[in-house]
Amino acid sequence: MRRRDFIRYTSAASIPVLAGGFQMKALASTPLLDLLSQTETDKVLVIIQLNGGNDGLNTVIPLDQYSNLAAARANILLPEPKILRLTNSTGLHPSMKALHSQYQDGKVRVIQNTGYYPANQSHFRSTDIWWTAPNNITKVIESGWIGRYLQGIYPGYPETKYDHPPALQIGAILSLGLMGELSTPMGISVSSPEVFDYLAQGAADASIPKTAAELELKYIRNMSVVSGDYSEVLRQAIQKGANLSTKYPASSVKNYLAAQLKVVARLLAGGLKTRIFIVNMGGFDTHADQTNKDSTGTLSGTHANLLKNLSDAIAAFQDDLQLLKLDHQVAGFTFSEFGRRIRSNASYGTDHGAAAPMFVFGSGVIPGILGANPQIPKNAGAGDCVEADEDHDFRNIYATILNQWFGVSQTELLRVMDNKPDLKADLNIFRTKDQIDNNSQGKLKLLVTFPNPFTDYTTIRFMSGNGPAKMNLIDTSGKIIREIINENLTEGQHEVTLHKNGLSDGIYYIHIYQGNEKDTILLRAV
Amino acid sequence: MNRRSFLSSFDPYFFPTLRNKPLSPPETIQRPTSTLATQSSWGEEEAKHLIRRATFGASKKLVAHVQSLGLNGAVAKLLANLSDPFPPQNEDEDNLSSPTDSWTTKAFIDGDMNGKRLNSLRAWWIGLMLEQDTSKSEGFNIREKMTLFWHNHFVTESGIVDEARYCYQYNALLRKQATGNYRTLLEEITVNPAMLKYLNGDSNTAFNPNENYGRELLELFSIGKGQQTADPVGDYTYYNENDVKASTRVLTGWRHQVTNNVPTAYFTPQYHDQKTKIFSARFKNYTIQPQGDVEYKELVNMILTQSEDPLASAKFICRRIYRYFVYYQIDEFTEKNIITPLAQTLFNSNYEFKPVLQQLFMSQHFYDVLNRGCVIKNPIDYVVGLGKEFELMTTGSVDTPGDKYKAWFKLYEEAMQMQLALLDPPGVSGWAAYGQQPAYHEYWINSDTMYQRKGFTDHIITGLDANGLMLSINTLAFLKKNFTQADLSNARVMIDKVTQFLLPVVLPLTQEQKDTLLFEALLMGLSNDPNYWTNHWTDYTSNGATTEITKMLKSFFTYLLAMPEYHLS
Repeated sequence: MRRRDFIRYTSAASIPVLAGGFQMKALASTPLLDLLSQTETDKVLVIIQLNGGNDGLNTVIPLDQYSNLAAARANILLPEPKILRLTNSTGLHPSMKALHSQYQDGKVRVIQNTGYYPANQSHFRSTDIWWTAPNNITKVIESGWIGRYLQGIYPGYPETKYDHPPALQIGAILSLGLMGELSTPMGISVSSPEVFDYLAQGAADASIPKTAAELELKYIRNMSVVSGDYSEVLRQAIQKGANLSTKYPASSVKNYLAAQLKVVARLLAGGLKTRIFIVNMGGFDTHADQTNKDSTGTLSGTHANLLKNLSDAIAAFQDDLQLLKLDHQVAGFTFSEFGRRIRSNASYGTDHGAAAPMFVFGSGVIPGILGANPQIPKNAGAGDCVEADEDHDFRNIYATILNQWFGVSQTELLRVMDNKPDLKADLNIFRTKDQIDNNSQGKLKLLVTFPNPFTDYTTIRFMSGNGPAKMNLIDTSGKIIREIINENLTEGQHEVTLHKNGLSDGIYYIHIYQGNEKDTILLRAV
Repeated sequence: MNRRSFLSSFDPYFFPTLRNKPLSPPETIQRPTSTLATQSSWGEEEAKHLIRRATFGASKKLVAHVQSLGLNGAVAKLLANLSDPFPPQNEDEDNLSSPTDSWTTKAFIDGDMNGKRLNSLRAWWIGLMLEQDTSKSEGFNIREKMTLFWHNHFVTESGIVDEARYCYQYNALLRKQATGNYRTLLEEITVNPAMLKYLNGDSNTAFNPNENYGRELLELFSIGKGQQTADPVGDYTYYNENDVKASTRVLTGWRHQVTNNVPTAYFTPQYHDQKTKIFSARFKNYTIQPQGDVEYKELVNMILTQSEDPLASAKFICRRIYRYFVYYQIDEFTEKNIITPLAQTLFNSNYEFKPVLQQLFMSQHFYDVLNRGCVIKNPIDYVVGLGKEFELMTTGSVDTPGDKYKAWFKLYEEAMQMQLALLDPPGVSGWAAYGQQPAYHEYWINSDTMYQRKGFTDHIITGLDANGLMLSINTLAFLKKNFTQADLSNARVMIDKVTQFLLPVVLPLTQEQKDTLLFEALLMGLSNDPNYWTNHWTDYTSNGATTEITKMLKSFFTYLLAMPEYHLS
């Protein structure tokens, strides 16, 4: 960031007024512009950055490639029977039980082989690429995709004051992703979740100062809690909001991500209208000792702990959002600057790789897996990586999320995504607004079909109210292929099994109707 | 102190930044019980404490030098007289390669040039603060810190004085008497042209008295206002309204003009009140007989020596010294065992200031651990101090005199954003941090100034645009110069050493803070293994690979310099 621009866009542009010896900023409080009404205003996106490069192949495991994986990474290979099944051919790391259960409840979308080609294997550069999303990955740009997006929604920020910060990052340093054009930071950072505890408690930086130095330190801590002009709105939100879930790990577990997400849920519960939150979790640069070497085997170790924390944090957050009745408003996704090599090294670790899976979570997602398993060569060489699917270029994923979640128009998408040629914004990630709204109002909901894709049979889990209901299997042309249910249902959760029985391979939809409610889920037969 | 009741008594509109102030229960803290007895132990921490409080911060090299002088040698050097600096220059009209060519003795040109002169004065003063105590012969010295003290005490504002040559002369007076005689300074400031202009002494006549200066002389500059009593004439314990009137009459008839480009005060007998001035019982009914242009000296002397409490004026200024150098809370013990004896020293030395400063800076009380790490750095301490710690002016690309002015001016602007604008205190009573109960130093810190402070440290790491000159600290050079290879190659040791130098050691970091500095800040969340740093450091020392460690150090120092602890001295 260039200082002159920073000054220009922050302090100097607001009008200092001397009163009582203090500088006051004249708050040119502008009601949110009409622009806002053109898009979804109540949607929130939570971005979880996994720092260091997550090993995708030990996170979402291609079971159909297991023997090739076994050859390439025997020393860190997860035992096949312990892998949690997402489908017949794809599984989840055994330590991610909580996320697995979210998946079964239809709250998780797995996107296979995300990234860009060719992958840059420097942490810093690749992180910059993911945050700045340039139209060409060799191009260095100084603004981030979120910053550019928010600049369209919050014109004039930060000179123009809005009631709530456009974006909030938990961390000491504002990420490049939030930097708008002309070096305008489009969000604020708050150093750690703990400081919110001080805010929430009003006075207590729990310590009672005993010396003058401690007294002043406490004062400065409390004043440095939040930057910029939003301290009051954040304080109010944190005091008004409360977490409802009991699933957050105890603080002794040191699940720092869960602590961050807990704060996000609480701020949202307290009425904060911030659109984008960035949280992060470190430690994924597992060059060595990714798994334990001893007899406890590959089920435990650094990576298993990381993934358990990630899984527990997302599951607790999702549970909280549901209890707070905010789940239809909030979606999140994970990303990491790259995946890791197919072959493990001799230190029970893996070196920097390329593509990896992403998790998108929330009540709005289309449940299941998007994309095919990565192909693992028979004799993977030391430099071999999983490469990104062309459709799953991370910029297509961002564009799709902006389009489907925030309703960003095609022209605006091009600007935000740096006019990338061949940009796609139509991946199957979120359900439509109607589906989500109907579900949030009523009792009818298709939760998950499992496995999906299926080869033999699949189990459909869904919720309903009381009364007659119909469930049909429909093909992509809209033709009813099979009637699955036509009966009176009682309120609650149900399961029904669908056998392939002569269905040809391909994409289908399951539609369910009850009263004036309906829901749809995508299904693939293979 | 009960902050809750304090908060409710103020209109938040006028104290907008206090709305965020946490409501705390009454807090009682342990204050020192050490006295002015001479300090015995002397080590690195004592040297650092002295440098940070009595000047504007320290490089590690300076700490070692001052430590090597011993306590006596260090205080002697701190208080030594310095030769006058070369005057300020303005690159639009002066030849910067000729250090005596200065606008301060040139004719007034126009308002535009006057503004440039004021900016050159501001920048130049920052330069004196920043570069005074390098390894040059002047070395480490209190002069500029005291000049700033007097600026806060004998306030003038450039916006009102409105003439750069007056402001320079005023500033030069404060510097000349920085550690000189308090009586002399009071006398000279009373008839200083800038002060005559600022507090309307130049329109105070026998026929139309203007009480502005006469009142502030008593209330703010010398003896200070005590409790208001029930006395209907407005009695403030140490003086009353009659004394304000009598002082005003003493001061009638002073004017100023520019003679040979030098602002000059002169006395006009025809506007002077020629009658006898009789003071109240607070000054034992002291009488000043008509003596024209020397009456003001007698007035100053009366205030300093003829009060009912002969130490009243000395105590007033010593309390201000204490709040500036030690801490803002003055409890009964401190009043009795520190303030009163210091005032006695001042009084006994015929108002020479050095003995007071010497006594304070040699005392056990000053070095008491309970007095360390508790002063919130003012914006100048913060900005200039960082410049010194990281040797900003020698590691950067600041070469020419023109560059220096650019760099200095940028630092002035940064401090101004943080609410300390040199030459422009917010009012005649100076900055709230040194005069406003109950929060004092805490007034430096609010959500806005914290934002400015963080903006400064963030950008001085990557590059601060000083009107085209990129100003930045070199954190890698800082580490290599001040720490050993062995220290630097181990992340935890490096973090310990750096934080012990930059942050108050009386506020030890918790393991959690250190872990955050290590894993989040230095390793940027990339690894849970401290050797990650070691490997990259080795890659740097053996192969010259700087890309990765530069990124890591940027992240580390960005985090470190934004820590609340770094705001404390």
